[in-house]
Amino acid sequence: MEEINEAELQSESLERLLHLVEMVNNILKDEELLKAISKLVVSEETFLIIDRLPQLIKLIEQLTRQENLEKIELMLSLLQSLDKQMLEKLSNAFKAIKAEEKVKPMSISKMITTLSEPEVSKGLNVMLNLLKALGS
Amino acid sequence: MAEKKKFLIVGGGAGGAILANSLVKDFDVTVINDSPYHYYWPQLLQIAFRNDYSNLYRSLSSLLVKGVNLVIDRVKKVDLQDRIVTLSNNKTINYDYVAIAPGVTIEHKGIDGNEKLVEQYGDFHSTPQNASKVFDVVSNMKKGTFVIAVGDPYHRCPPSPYEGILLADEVFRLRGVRNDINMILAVPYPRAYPAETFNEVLEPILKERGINVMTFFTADKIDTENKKITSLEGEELSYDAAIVVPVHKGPKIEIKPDDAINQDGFINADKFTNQILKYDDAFAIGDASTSANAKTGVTAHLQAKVVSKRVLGLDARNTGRTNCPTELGFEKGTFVISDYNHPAAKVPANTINFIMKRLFADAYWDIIRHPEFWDPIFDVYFENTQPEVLWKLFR
Amino acid sequence: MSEAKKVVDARGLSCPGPITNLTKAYRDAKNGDVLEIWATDPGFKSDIKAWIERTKNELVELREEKDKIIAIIKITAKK
Repeated sequence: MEEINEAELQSESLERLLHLVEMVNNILKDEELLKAISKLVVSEETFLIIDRLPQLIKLIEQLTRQENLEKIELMLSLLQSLDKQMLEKLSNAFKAIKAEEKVKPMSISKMITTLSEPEVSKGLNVMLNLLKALGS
Repeated sequence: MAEKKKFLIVGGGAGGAILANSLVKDFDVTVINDSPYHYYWPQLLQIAFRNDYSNLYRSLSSLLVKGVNLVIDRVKKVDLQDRIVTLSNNKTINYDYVAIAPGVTIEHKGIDGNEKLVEQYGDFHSTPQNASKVFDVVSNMKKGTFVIAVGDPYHRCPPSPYEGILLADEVFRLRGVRNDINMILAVPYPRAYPAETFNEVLEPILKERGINVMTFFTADKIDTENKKITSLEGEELSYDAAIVVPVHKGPKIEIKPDDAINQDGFINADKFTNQILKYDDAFAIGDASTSANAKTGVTAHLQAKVVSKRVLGLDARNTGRTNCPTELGFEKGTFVISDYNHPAAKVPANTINFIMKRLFADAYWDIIRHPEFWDPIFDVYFENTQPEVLWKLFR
Repeated sequence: MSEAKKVVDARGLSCPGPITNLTKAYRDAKNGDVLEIWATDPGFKSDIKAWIERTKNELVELREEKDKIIAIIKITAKK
């Protein structure tokens, strides 16, 4: 009785193996599938990754250290808190500075007039609020 | 040991075969199928546009595990009241449980002129012969208008018309004749793809490939003399070659009582449990059942698993999960994934999804044969690709 | 020829959606018939208007109730 069971088990295992072979065979015969896989594996991006793997691993190692992870998370929450419009304004302001070849010195009277401009006083208010929050 | 209860399964397709293989340990299972073969219907697209027959069919007996009885015969009648199934030779079989899963009947005559049209240009929803006609057409056409029109929105495999037109585009491009062929996809819906969310994925692809989409066009009459299709909505479309997705009806099986089937012959079953009316020993699964929110193998597969658990006393329920792999040509693919509570997620078109699709197809026979091996893998897959999860991922 | 009124209940459907059910009923309908469609899909309102525009049938009423959107259509343009 037991011998029969063993023979049966063996034939079942053999059958399972044959089914798996059939599946692998299907995959290997699927030209388009293989083409798609090789396209994915052999690409500029994968070459780049392979080429810079040592640097990448080093970077990942540094990034995933506990203390750095915490800092990164803080940076992310900072990013989330930033207003998109405000960032755009800031980036425009920087571009404007770059565009003006030299920042010229300004007279006190000019400074006072500039300060009274609504945009400037609005920006100043933002800066002052920020300074206040940092100091508290 | 108490005698096992008799479980009869009408139909040995994806749903019927998986159910049989899942139940064989606990029941005396018999599958009745009208053909000795089990067809993998998505292969019709591969035949139509790639001339690839490899995965079309296997003998059903090779897919059923040892212990499952197989009867090759046509079922004439199922009497749910008396628990009797009648075969073509009037022989009867009684049961303790029955699952009806015979799939659909394709009715070309449901659209005026489609019988003649399919003789000329074939289609990819009926037979391998018709699919091979399509391949002849797309590999010989040099110029003119090529049309795929949907005549029945309840056809098998919801993304198939889109796959069809995109794969035809691929063939025309590879043959270098694409510039001389105007390609039109005509659909009954307000937009290219009925589900608005998935349309956001698909429409840009159709546009990029230069396929013209005609909305609110339900093919109704075909004039093969003058090569014109008229829509139910009253518009006309001229073609040089055309494929009209045929009307699908329920199985040609008499089911008693009469209210177990709807006007189109589909079996009225509960969308959560697959139970037919008040009969707690009778289920309908897959394409033949009104419980299938998409006519796809995955739906039949998932429903078979639900039924196999319910008859063992577990309260398993369908979630309405769809998982329709969609080939877009040029080794790109996506999936239509939705459930009763979530519209189709915006799964992006890429090569990984194409690879996933093909791996599913190549593993198909093994999935049918070995539910015990694949069930845990699919459980993880379905859990991790729930529409709810995907919706958060792809906004 | 008798003119019929038919209710198409497409509540709870979003894909392929209420329009698909309407199309099915439209196939069996004839001029003079009235179709009443019930839907819950919020996109239904714009879809039905677009359908009317394309098919040139008559939209008798389109209203929203607590639990459903109801469209009443008179079939006038069937060929």
